[in-house]
Amino acid sequence: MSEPSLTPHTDTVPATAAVAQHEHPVLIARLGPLFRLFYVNLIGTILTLGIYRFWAKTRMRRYVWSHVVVGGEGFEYTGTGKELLFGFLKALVVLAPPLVLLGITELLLDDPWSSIVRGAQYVALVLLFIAGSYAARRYRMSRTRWGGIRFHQSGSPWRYAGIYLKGGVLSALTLGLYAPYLRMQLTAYETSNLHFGSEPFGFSGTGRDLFKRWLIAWLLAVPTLMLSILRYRAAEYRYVAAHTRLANLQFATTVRGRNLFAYYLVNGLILVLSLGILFPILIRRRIGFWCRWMTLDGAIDLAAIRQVPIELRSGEGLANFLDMDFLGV
Amino acid sequence: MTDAAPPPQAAVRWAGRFHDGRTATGHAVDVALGTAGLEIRSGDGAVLGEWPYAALATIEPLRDGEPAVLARDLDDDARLRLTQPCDFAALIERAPQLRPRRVARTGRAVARAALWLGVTAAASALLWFGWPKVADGLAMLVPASDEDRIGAQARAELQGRGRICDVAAAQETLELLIARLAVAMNYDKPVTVTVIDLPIVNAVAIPGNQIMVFQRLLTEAQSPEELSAVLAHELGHVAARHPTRNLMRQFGLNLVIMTLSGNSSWDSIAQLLLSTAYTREFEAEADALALRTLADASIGGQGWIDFFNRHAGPGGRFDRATAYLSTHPPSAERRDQASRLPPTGSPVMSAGDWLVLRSICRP
Repeated sequence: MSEPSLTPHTDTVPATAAVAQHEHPVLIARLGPLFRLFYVNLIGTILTLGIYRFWAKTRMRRYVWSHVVVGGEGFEYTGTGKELLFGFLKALVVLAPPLVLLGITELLLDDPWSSIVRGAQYVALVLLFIAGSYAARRYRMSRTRWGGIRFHQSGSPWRYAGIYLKGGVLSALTLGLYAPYLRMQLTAYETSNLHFGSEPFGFSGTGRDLFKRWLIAWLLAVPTLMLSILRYRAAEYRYVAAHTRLANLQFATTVRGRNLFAYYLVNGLILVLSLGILFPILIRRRIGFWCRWMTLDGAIDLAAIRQVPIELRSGEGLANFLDMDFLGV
Repeated sequence: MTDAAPPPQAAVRWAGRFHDGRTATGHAVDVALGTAGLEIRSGDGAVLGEWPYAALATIEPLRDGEPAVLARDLDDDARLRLTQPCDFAALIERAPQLRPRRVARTGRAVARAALWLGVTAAASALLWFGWPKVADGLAMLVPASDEDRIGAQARAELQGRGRICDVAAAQETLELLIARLAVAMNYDKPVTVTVIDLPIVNAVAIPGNQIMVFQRLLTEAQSPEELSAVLAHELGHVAARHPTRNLMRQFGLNLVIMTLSGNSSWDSIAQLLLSTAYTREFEAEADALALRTLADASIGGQGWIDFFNRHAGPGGRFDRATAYLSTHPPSAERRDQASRLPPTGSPVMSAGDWLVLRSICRP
């Protein structure tokens, strides 16, 4: 069986099951539409002093999602610009008063106190940013479908920010040595709260497994000009993929540090040499990179994955306030 | 055989994959264009769905040569993927709403774009004309004690860059000049004036009734009248509470622009444009106050003209081109405002005092 497929194999397995053998997601996005979308979006955003960006983001996501194909079926993004705008306005109403208040207090206070307020403001902003990124993820997932079935991200943004706060403090106290624990805790929270229809994703990784690798990378970071960190990052990707599954579908990647290095280097060259004009190429490269390096293996009973009705939440709110992106789209 | 030939649309058949929206299973299907809708049949001929043309929706605009995904209607979970690239003309003929936007809805797109531009223009106008009024109102609410505190911070900031020059005799001369101008301006709050040893030909007004004069201004000014012109201008800023009003305007502006546009780079250009428009308004106001003050203090207008001639160039082309981007109005115009004043007036200070004042930082 050389041909990768996630299509039903009626003769060997139950009709509703799908088998994957080294199946890659395939990116079928073309550069023409990407360039057109990107520049129409850019012009619209500038002409409307930025307000169009919610619709711009939505259009780009719709295009990219539907052009990533797994098992012969594309993804689908069902979010709308209006939802993003409302989410943003909601976040604005909640966030603006305390931030303005903090800003004014800082201005009016004398030195030791104004520094303390500034510090508190900084911590609060970072936590808001992290919680916001999770809220955005939750929104994005609830607006993503495959084969008509919705994804769903459960979990609480504040819980997530709490994990980050605790791990961030421990990382700071240990000069970064705690980092793999924190990263795996965050990944575990993200992944085990992700569902495809009725089927939850599973993640079984722990920071302890990565600690030795991280320690070596950490010690060699300066002499290798941070290349050891890149190598570690690749190992971490491999580890995370190998410990992620959806039912019996096993994720994997064989990406190595040198692949990441080449990828970042070429990205940087394209961006700098074209003065940003070729940015749409980077969008395709970013997603294409993960499509190329991610593989799926195993059998999955698609009939057992049911549609689950979920409450519809509005907008990315917080994340949009802070203007976050997912792989550049 | 009758001669009633089958309708031509029945001949159009596509291969596809069907998801019923309840489970993730995909079924290989045959799709045909029926009379009222799309007919979806599984391999064994069972009808899986009949989707009326009128409600059909696409996830992405149809593109010839690319696979298409259709939904029964926008709220339905079931999906039909046409797996082979096909020519959509026959489908679009029956379900015109599937026509890619570019062709079908140019008129609507133009209307929508116009609406967007209108909304944007209205919002900008509100920001441009409305916000300054609101900010000025807010500035009135800032108590003097807070103004002093903000001023002290600004002062400390400047002090960090250059030392304070405080030769007593020179300082006294400077304060006398400020007092004379303040009396002429009918401004009765005490104004603090400080000379900072920095090579800048300028003076600034900061919150809390303060004027900071930079050392280079004292040496570049060729006469006490020239210095008076600059000080009267700064005193105009102080009397009109420009520093606090400006702070309020900028603060709100930063907030609005930051939140509206996220973190793109062109927003700083918009901000620069808006903030300079605000500042230009303040400069014009301070100029008007200063000129009236100089007249009332019977100080000649020649100092004003000389200072502008020397420091802002002859008002040539470059000066005009940059006028709208610069924080001060075009200098030729500013210079000529003083031509209404009598060129000379009563002496501002003695030649000895002037010498002492100019060397306040180099005693």
